[in-house]
Amino acid sequence: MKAQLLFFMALLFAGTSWAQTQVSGTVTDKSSGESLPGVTVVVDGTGTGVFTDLDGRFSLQADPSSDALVFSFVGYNTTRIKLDGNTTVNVKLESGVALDEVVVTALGVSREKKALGYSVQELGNDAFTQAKTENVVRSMTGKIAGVQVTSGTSIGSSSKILLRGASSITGDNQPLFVVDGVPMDNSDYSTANQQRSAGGYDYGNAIQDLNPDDIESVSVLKGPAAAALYGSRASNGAIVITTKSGAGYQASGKRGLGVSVSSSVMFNDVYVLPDYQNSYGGGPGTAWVDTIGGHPIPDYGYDGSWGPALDGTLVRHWDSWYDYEGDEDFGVARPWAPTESDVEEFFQTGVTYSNNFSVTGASDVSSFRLSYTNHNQTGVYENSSLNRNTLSFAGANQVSEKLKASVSANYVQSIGEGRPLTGYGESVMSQFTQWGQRQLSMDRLRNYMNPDGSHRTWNRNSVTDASPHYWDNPFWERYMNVQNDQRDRVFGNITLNYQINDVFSLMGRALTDFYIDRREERIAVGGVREPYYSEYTRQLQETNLDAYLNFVKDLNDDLNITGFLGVNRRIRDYKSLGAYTLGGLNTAGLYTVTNGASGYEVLDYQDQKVVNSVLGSVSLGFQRTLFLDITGRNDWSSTLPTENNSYFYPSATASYVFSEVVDIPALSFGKVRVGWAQVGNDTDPYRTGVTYAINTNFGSSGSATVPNAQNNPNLRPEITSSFEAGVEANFFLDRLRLDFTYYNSTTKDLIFNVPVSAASGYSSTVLNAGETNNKGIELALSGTPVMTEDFRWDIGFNFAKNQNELVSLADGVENIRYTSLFGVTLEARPGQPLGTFYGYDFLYDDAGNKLVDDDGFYLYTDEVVPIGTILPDFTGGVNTTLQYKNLSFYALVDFQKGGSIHSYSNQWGKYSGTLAETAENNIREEGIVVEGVYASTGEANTSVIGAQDHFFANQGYVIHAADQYDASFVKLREMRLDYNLPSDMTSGLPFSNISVGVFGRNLAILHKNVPHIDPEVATSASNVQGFEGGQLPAERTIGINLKFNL
Amino acid sequence: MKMNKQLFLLMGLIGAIAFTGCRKDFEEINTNPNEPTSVSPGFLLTASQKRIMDEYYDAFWGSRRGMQLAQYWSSNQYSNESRYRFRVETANGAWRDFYAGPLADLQRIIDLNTDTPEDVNGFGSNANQIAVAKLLQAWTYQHLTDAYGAIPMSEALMGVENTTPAYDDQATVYTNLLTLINDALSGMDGGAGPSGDQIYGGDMDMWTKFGNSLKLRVAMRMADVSPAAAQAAAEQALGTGMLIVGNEDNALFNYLPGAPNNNPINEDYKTRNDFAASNTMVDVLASLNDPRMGAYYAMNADGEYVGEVYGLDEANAALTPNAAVSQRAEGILAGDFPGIFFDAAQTHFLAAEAAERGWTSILSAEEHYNAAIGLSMNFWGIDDEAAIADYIAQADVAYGTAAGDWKEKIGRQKWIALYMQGYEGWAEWRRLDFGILQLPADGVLEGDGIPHRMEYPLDEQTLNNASWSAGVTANGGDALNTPLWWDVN
Repeated sequence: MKAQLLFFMALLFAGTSWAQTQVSGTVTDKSSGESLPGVTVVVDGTGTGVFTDLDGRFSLQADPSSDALVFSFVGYNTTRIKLDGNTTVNVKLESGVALDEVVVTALGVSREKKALGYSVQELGNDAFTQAKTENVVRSMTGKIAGVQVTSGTSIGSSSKILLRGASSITGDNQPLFVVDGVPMDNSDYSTANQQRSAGGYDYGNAIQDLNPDDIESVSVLKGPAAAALYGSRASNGAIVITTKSGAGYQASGKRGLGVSVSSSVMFNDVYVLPDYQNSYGGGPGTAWVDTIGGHPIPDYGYDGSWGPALDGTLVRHWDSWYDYEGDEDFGVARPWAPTESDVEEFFQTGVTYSNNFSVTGASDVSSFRLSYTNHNQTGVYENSSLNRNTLSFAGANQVSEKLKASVSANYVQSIGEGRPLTGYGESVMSQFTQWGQRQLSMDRLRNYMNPDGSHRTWNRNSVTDASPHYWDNPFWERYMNVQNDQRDRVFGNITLNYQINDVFSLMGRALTDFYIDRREERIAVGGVREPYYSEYTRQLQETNLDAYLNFVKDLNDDLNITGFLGVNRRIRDYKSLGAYTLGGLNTAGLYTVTNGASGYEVLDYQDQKVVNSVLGSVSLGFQRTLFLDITGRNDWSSTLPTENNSYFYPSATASYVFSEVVDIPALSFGKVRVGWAQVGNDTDPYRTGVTYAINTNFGSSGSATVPNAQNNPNLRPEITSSFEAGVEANFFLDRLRLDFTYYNSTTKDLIFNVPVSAASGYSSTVLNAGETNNKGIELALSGTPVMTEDFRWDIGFNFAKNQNELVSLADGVENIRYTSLFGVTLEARPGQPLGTFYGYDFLYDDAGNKLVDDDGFYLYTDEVVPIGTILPDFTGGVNTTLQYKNLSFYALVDFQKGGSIHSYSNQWGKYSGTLAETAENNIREEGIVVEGVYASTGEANTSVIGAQDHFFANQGYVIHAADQYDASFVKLREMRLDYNLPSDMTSGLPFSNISVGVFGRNLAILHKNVPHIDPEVATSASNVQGFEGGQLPAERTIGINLKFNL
Repeated sequence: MKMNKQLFLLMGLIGAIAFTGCRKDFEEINTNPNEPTSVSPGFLLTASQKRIMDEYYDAFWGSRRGMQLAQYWSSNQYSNESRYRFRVETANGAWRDFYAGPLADLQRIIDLNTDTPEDVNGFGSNANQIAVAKLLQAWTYQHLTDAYGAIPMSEALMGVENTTPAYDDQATVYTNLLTLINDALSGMDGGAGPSGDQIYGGDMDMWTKFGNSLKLRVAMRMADVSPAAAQAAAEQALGTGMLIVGNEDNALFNYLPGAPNNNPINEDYKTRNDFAASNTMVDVLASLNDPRMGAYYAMNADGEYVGEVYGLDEANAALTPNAAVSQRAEGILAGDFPGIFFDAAQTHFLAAEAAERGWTSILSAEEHYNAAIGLSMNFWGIDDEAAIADYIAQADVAYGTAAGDWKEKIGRQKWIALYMQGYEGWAEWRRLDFGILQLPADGVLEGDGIPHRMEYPLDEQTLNNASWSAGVTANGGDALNTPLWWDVN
């Protein structure tokens, strides 16, 4: 063992002994012979690089015996030159073909970007590792046109990603994630309550298991045209991720081992907190409840702040009643005054350490990469943490001249503990904002337990009754009601490639994604909620078996043909077993299901789904200017009725590089593309048969019910048809780059579990419910305004506008409802966008004045009416990179215009008197005359109403539109500064390619229209969005990175 | 040539994989292993009976609405509902849990016994299973129509065949109720009663009594607007002599002590204590020195019975310490407090009313009145017959001397006896106009005065708009004050 370790260490140092020498040369244009300034020269496989100077000269440190240099310049063919011992390299670059950019497309096929008839955008590793987050989805925010990301806060929380907006009312609209060919599960198992911000833990979506350090590139295939070959799950697009392997290392000519290390430290702090009032304390009214020993007694049990003015009167605070030895607060009256330790003191600075260590190796016939990453995070909530370990291996071996074998295997263990509760009524913010007493001191609350183990809460029932009325001490919640979770995940593939001859090759592969997800939740004895313990274990495995016959043939000089014919069998197995206690816990502190005071309940469930597919693709290229792709796929799904379970869907796309044919001044590249595609979709298992739901026995009697959801034996597959067209054009030797796309897609026969009038005997019924349309534009514009020998300035802009609509619904269905909370529903009706809020609205006169009744209270509609939609008008981002020699600066601002959210923090915070506006303008002392006119006379309102009456009756509690807000924002999303140490500074050290960086994420909200909260609301990755309740405050991240090779 | 061979081999392989068990095993794969495809109808009956009562005593439907509408309880905090701001969305749950719950389960019992009788006749005779299911449906529909007025009934429970069922106006609902009850009563055969019956253990004689008593109640409620039909039905029911006339006949759902089979009031009380005794009821009981006081309410910290003022605003309600007012009695907060479908006292009050209306009854109005009071006392654990006699003998209670006309006399005592059947107490207040109920002390928040019906749940507005709209028209509005069809005066 020891000897092996020594050998390994020796290998490491062998890797560092490559001699670094000065290598120099000149770069010229191949046709004109003129020197080229600003060409990027990089030592291949490293981050070391320089630009050529005004005369096209460059000079850098490299190892002439093994290194290769890569020369790249917009508008020119990227050229790779192996040094082979030379220290002088003069290069002639060929112009005009630099856009033979290769991107990864469906089924992992690398294609020339110019040949594609649809939009593909790619992000490299830097986008994910230079300003890390715990969820790779978050790193995509603002970087690609038409990609909308909304994220929760707190450790390991959810991130929802939409490509081209929500196109369907079904499922969650999330794209399919594919890692090295493995379709990855992205479930979050969020509860319905959690989705609508009504409580529960946010466990995040499972794609966060991906390790940013292992990502080589990410291709975003936005439309169904791009993803038709992945089948139904890709109808919302696909995100195709290629992980690092040893292949690049091997191809660069390196042999032996290379080691690289990357470390980050990040600090998280909350930065969006409500504006609170600090004039009045807790209580239902300004009167004291009682006077004891000459001191007033506040109403401890009331969870609102309409109490007496915080004028310094000496009162008996909640914590003056604990008669324990040494308790200095017992019996002492203290001033009734604004708190000296407010809500922000509840939070701490969260710290994250992320360390990656990887070894890459290659021989003439094989290569591998082995990587280990540890992500160790403590949250801004005390006693919360997330610890993730990732081990990944990728290897390839050329077994014979014709046979190549490769394997990749990843193991991820993710352990969360002490996640904060979310949503209305459960999140800690609920008792600070929605229902709270403003005079409370966090410092004092931190002492949450008496010496005898009993609970100390501010919300005691009365002087004599210390038990909690509605709320636990927030620190009790942190330290006593602790959840924990663990997910162990293995995914990978085994692939064999057999080159039959020059034309045909055969690939067979097996891919699997498997995890066990275990969650435990606890409620301690002594708090307000019934003591409880639950554990839930979920096991998911998806296995795909593929075989493809690929062919490539140049039919003549002008025409080439490539394509494949393949089969796929997908098997998805899900099992879950959960158990929870009933009636409390017998023994405090013992968290087992058998400790339930009235026993326990067990829930077990399993489902299976199999889809068989035959698919094929043919691509024709003519004179390298005109390209045509045709694909077809037929699926057989186990989830549909036998007579309807087979469905075929084709696609056809074309692209034409007109700049090869027409000469337009200043245009260096131009292409138009057009495509049409269909994607079919099946449904969840078990939606076609009749079954009964079994209840807990009543005594010894069995109990069963007809399920609330009615199944449908006549379901048909749903089909999405989409059209896409676009143009790409580069000008001034590619210094200005434009990519524009228009798309329009229609989904028919949507399969949806439609909520219906319960008077039908069911609360929902599974139907082919209707038709939706989704259309929009995407624009990406980037340029390089300045480029000199040492300095380069890039700026990029992306913009997307998406419109969707529910076109029609099946007979007998009036609307599609996603969810509702406190009378506000999120639904879709024909002719309206998917995701429209309904609620009561103010009444207005013709001049737009709000109407009031004769007492001065706002009037509202008789029926619920549309009061907003979650659909934004447009989204986008602006980024810029400044690079001076080895120093680079990057900044990203992203924005959303429009879209609407319903805020319960605002609604209840006004109702309960915690927010600033409930004590402004002397409203409590003098009341308020609301702006409006009398409905009876049309005269301006002059009636004074009390503050409490105003905030009870004129707000979202009664008139929902009052707390519906515009979700527009402009955010400074990301900034970073990176420095690559010049290799001459590191010569002689055992390290090379050292880079250091500082970065910040979510640095500031530059603009928003909703008070008190962050307009970006997400508590799950589900389709239910836009309800904000007890929002956990947004967090800002500041971090530093260090990377180097050994 | 060699390549072709390889190709054929390959295509064969592809075909083999693609069609391995393609269609046949799909049906098996898509058969739900988690839930049965058939169950004993007895399981459905048990669930239906429990779920009707679960909703009747639900925190929002039963406690915040029913028990406060009858002013049996007051809010000690968050008092909006006691001042008639209910918010229509809080009725969604009850609507769903009655229709898509027990009503649908009972319909399935009827359908199974109609469509595949031989599959289910081992769980009681087909006719008797259907009869019991219909009676429980009738009970539930009456409960719903008395809260709302027009409701979906003749087009309800058809699933995907009609996802937007029309509303029947209340007159039609009442006609349909009598038909449903008559069908049930005439349909019973001499076979075995249904299995899974938690109320009567499958005793069909008891279900006959239940059916006739329910028919009497339905008839009496329409007595002021459809007197001829009401009289005919009531006399039919009374004429059988098979009614719930003793407490041993009571239709009770006997909850068990622990979750999830405990009374919902008990479950709610574990985490919240939002209600106290209402002064409306406590004052009446105190003035009559009513022996039921201790069974209804607990004494306050000073050992007295003090009701919390009904309809305080939030600040005032919160300022009344819990220790200062009477709370709900311990027995009512217990997990095994039974759900009451029908009790003998009601039958006698109805029979007394029949006599007063000049219909053929069993005993005289006064005899029924006295019997009803005595049976109520017995039900609440007061067995001292002398004390009961003394109570009845006092001038304010005695039938001959109590104040007001027969409606007020019967109404007042019936309201006292209907404690824990909030909706029935409220319904009889609307019908018999006996006063007593007071306006909320700190004012009415929605509507005008004490409500005469509930506003429809928000879900119906958004999921069944056209039918809802027609239903509103049939009622003459969707306001809290819109009187129901049978609510004249």
